[in-house]
Amino acid sequence: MPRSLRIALLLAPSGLLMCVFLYGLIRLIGSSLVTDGQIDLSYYEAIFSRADYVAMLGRTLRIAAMTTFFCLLLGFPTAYYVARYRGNRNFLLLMIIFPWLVSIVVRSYGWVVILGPRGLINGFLTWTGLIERPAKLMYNDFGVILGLVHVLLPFMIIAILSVLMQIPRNLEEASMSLGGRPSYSFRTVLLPLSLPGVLTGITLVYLMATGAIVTPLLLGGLGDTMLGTEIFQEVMHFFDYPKAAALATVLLITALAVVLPIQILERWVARRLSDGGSQ
Amino acid sequence: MPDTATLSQPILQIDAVTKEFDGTTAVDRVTLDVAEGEFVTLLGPSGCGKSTLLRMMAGFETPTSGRILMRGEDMSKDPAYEREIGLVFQNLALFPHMNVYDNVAFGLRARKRTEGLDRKVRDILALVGLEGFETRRTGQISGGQRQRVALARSLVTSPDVLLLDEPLSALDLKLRRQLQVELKRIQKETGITFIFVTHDQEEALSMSDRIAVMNAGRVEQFSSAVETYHHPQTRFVAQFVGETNLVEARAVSRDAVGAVLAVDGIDQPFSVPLVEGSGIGAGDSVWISIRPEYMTLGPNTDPAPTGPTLTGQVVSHSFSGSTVTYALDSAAGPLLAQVPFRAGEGHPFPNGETVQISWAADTTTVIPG
Ligand SMILES: Nc1ncnc2c1ncn2[C@@H]1O[C@H](COP(=O)(O)OP(=O)(O)OP(=O)(O)O)[C@@H](O)[C@H]1O
Ligand SMILES: [Mg+2]
Repeated sequence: MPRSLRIALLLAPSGLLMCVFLYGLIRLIGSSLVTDGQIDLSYYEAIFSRADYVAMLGRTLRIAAMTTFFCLLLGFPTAYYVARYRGNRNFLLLMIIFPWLVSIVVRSYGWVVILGPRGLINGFLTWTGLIERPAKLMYNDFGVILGLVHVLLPFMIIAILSVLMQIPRNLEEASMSLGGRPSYSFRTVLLPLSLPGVLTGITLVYLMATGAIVTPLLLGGLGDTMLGTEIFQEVMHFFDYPKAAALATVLLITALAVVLPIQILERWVARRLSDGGSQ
Repeated sequence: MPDTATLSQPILQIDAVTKEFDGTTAVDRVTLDVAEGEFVTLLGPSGCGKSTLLRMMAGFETPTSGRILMRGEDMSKDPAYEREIGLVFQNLALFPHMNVYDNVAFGLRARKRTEGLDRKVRDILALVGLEGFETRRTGQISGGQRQRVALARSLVTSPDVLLLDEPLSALDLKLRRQLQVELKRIQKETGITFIFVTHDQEEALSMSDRIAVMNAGRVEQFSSAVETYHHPQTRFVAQFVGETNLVEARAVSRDAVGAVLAVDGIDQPFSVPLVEGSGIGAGDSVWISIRPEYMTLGPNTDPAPTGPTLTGQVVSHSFSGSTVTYALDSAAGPLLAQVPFRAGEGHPFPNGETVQISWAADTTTVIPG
């Protein structure tokens, strides 16, 4: 079989997927922009003239940013620990991936059991008499961020871990033998070399957090939903497809506005690292 | 320089250092004193604990027991970044995201010694012959050049001691020889104490002031290169450093110079010198080591020469430029004899020929059995 034919056959399934995906995307954006063959921006005007939608967009981006931040804060040290673990690393990896085997609904609901007004924490605190009425630990941004960090943390860890595993332990030792304190070694050696993984992790987690549906639905407050949940409800409850499409497009654009620069930065960093490496 | 070791205080003292990794002993009660400006080599087979010992000096491993002293002060517990000790890694560990200049400048920046940084970096690059390579990335230079970057990077901060873990093992023979000479020159010029690790005995002999021969975590002998080659104190050292003939012998008696030995296959007991305090007495069984180049061969019909003499058969011979090495079979066991090769004469002794093997008694080294 000629080489080109083989490549074409191998690419065919992905081509098919891309076509279906692109078709859906174009139809989605199209349905929000075009009414009866006319360009019609009224859906967008409607969205941006409503203060609650603008606030929802802001909250979505804020929660996504906070989630990403905490995932990074927890994910980097965890990934580092796993990468430098001398024992059975596969076991640790399994523990990290394990939550993926459980449905996201179950995982989010688990938090209700822990954080709810009659949940584990509140139950314990009222029982000991430390507080009189249950503290509001969920049905607010805190609950949503906690839930999202829990769900998305593995992605951050895996993204960073894959890069850290490529960095020889020797490099940190070299830095230390040259007088670099741990903080200096981290800043000048480990961080720059792991940046591609960090940026990939940020991109993944941020994108998934902006589009989150289930976690905000279960752990968020009634009044302050996130955009993903709102789109879900527009479609499933009100069948307002054009409006949902307009919201989705807004979400897509705001997400890209953050992600594209990160992607460009990542390319740049990766290129800089690769022509120095390979020794 | 070994004589200065006895005069001034050693710069580095390894005092009965042991390192155990869950059950296995990697380094076993090693004691070494290294003098300032000395070139010391740790020589030993793979897995004998060279790297582990080096890593304890650098501060990446803590000894299970024992102390490491720098100018008389115990530094066993100091973190690596507080020690004035450089380390050239076996795989070099250059920073892939930095160019040559930044790699070399790293130590000065990390230690906040930025005064005159540019001058120092350029001087050291000149010393290792890398002028003009400043902006190259570490992936864009040859193996030998990377080696020099690693060396320059560790030297630029003028450490008290520079540790080198088999830095040349990945290079081809020619480049390796060239860098050995250069390394030695740089060591002389900077006056920095070098502790060099290798498993190549030729490399050790050609470069070192003193050699510590290691085996299974222990230092078997610590002496000058000449001493190590000519007076091995253990069978391991005799066999590991250069080719040798090890023959079992029995001490018949002691005499003025040393001992009188009897060897199977040799008619006359012969007298050999002993090092002082060897503790060998009459009746002890010992080993003797004779280097192949001290062996002489003659036709079996010759009158017996003065030294220890026995007969044997030529098993095989191999030619290596100026010498021929004969593998022989004798009553004392298999022997090697390396004799000068003279053009035009050919190989005087064909395989299977019975020959007379002898050596001068005073080239014999006696090793306690
Ligand atoms: N981190 C470690 N954990 C467990 N065992 C180790 C560790 N590091 C070294 N060892 C063991 O200690 C012994 C000495 O190892 P070391 O690396 O010091 O040998 P070496 O002399 O440098 O060998 P080579 O010439 O192959 O580099 C080996 O048996 C090795 O398996
Ligand atoms: Mg080693």
